[in-house]
Amino acid sequence: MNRQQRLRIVLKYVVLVLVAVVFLFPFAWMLATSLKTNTEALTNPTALLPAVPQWGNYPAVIGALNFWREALNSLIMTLGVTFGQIILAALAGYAFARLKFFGRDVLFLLILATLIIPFQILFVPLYLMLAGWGDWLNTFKALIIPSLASPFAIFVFRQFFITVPKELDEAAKIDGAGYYRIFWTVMLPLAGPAVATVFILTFLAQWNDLLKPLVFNSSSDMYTLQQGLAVTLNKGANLVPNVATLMAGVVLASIVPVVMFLIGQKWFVRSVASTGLKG
Amino acid sequence: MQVQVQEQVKTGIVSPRQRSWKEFLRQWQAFSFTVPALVLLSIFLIYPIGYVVYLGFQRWNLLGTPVYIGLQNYNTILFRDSSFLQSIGVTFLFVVLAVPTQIGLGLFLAILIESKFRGRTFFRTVFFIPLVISFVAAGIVFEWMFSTGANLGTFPQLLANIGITFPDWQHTNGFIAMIMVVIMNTWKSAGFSMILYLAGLQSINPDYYEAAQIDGIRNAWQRFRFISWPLLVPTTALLIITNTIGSFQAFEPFYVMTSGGPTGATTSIIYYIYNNFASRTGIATAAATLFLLGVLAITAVQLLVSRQQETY
Repeated sequence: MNRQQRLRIVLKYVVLVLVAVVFLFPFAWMLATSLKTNTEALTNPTALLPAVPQWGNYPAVIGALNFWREALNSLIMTLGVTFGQIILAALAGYAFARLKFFGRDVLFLLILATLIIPFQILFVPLYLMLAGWGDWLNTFKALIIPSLASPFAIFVFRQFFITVPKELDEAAKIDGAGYYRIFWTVMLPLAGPAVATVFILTFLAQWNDLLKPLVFNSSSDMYTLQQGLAVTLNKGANLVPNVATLMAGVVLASIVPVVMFLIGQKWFVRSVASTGLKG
Repeated sequence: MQVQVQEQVKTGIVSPRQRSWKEFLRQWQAFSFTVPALVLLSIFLIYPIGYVVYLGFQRWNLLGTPVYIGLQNYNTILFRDSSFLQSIGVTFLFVVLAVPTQIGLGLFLAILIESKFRGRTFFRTVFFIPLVISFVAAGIVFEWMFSTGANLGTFPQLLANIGITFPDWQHTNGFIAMIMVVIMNTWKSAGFSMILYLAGLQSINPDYYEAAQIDGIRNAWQRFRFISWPLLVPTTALLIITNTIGSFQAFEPFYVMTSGGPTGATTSIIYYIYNNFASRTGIATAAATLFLLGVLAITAVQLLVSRQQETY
């Protein structure tokens, strides 16, 4: 290795470390502020570390928010939507990929077309529909059921099932298995990668979502964690929130996705990369 | 079963009518797999689209019954109430600023960690993590880190210490407020572009680089300019499309970080719809209908462009 090459490597590491510091700074700031006193956070914002770590901010934010209830609400909504989407999309994706029925391809194209319709324009009619059905708003029904069928998830499963070798289900067919048995015993057990992709992307989207709970929940009993942070704490009645405990709340709400990511990094990267693959 | 029936048809044990009945059953059974998803999609996706368009022609504030008023809502939002036009401007400004910055930073990060080196996974993790936290979390952190309220946030305070006044984006300077949201969004979203660019870079055949070396392309910049960049065009196109669509729909970054202010300078189209949906439902749904038409137009352009690319 000559001098120039070595210099280039050193330079690259310098740039990498600088960029990494910029990327990590908001996290470090969030953690440090969550351990300051509120006065410290407001009047001494340039101090990198708290004078004395205030671990009490964490119990404090759990008290200020209906924390456990909101965490449970987030979890129920997230898991309900995620597992529901996986089952429905696996069923539909299997049929679109492997079975023949009248109008199949037209139907699939229609579903693909709905991919471009965002929840952001549907929340008004959905709100009105759910309000008209009586007891839907402020329930898990509203948070889960309208989100269960996902064109994107159907697409992921269909693309996956297309790649499964034909011999596998043909062998099962010769053994006399019907479509349902083939689906449950042959196809679904193979669908790990598609399940992982949908699980990760849907889990993140639902756990982090604000708009849906914001529109469908008015009762604070049904608030999700994100809603509690954004509405109760950050835009709460007091004009200046307690910044230190607010950051403790932000840390707590971020722990779930960050820990999941650190454990399943490889799968996260793969799932995100797969969103870029066109069918 | 299937095979058996076919055998029976061949040997003439079952009549053709029985066979078509079997075939119908078989198709119905196949179709039934899609029924749960189709029913839910019809109720919660297809029907609401029609409902949005219908409501755009009504006057309604959730009380009483909707009254048909023709195009009045459209007349109001396009010609009388300037705040809708402002929200269109805000949204386009956000798209123009947010799309190139996150794609550009994503490309830069991807190039930095493309080759194998010690610590590569660590840096990839660092650049990816912001993607997994919520816009609520990211927005709150950036809001307070850059606060220009009664108590300055970290960066405005640092600047104040050396005698520079940070523009008051929380109260008066709308353009800087937009810039702050763009900065937060770039930090949070660049990892997505990075991952797609990494996949793109890794799919480039190394032979190209070797061939280029023979052709006299030697330094890294030329390699990037004449080989990687042209081969990354599909990735870039895809990122422009997905990030543009995503940025047009932005609501949460604004809701959390700026509450749409100061004076509507960060009230995006979706935020406008959100602000109006309970009090002026007709207005909000007319705006949503126009937004839907815009999305359709962008998609049509995207399809045309991608078709053109395929032909050449």
